[in-house]
Amino acid sequence: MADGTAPQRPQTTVPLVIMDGVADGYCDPGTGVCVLPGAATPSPPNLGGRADEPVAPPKH
Amino acid sequence: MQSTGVPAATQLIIDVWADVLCPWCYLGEQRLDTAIASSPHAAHIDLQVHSFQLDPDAPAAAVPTLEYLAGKYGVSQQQARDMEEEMARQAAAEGLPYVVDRPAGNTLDLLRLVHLGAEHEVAWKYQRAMQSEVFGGNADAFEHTTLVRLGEGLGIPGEQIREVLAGDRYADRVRADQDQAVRLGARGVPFTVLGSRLGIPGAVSVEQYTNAINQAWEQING
Repeated sequence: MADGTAPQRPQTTVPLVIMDGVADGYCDPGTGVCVLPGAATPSPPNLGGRADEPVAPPKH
Repeated sequence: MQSTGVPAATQLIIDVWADVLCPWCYLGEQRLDTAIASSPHAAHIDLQVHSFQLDPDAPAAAVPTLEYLAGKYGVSQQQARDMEEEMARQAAAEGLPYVVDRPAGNTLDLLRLVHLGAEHEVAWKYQRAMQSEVFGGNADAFEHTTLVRLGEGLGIPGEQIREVLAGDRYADRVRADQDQAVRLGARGVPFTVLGSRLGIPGAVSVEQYTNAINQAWEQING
């Protein structure tokens, strides 16, 4: 397995299919807010309770 | 881009956008590593690392993570601790250390160094080493001495690391990577693109990464 970066990649030649709603968790690229999974976690304001729910930006 | 030396038609390129400080990147990278290692196509996979700085406004000087999260999310430090302890349980399931009381800080310098690591073909390993220090609770994880030590351990000359840290080299590449992810429609980080065809926002299970690798491989080489 090679290991590097290529800033101009990928050169998409076919439509990119985005597999939404399958993640166990993610960090929102717009707000930087990281979403925690499941009901086991108390959800503070604006953090969201489920990994597949949209996330509102945090209020400061 | 590094090459495994096999014909391009038999390769699968996996692009991953991530931040050092992103908990789900830390877990997702571990799961992706596991999926690749167990894949029959492992020798023909090129793994490309791209930067995604989640919080450019994070403090330059490292602060306690709970203090940082409480301020960022507008919650109490106890609520931040509860969130972090849940993440620690997730990490433990992957066999990863995850210390709640750890430092948080601005990752621009770290991400610039990942690009330096790419020139030595150790970008992925360098990023993972940084994450091990951060999430492992090393209070000095953001210190230049730590970053130099980690890089030198992977074969990067310390002088090159210090030169990058002293300037702004690779900052444009960090921004370009981020712009590219947005253009591609990244709605979650880590953001993984397999074979320029299949995008996965966020961290998924090892099984899902395995299925995605197989699916992309079939589309390209099947």
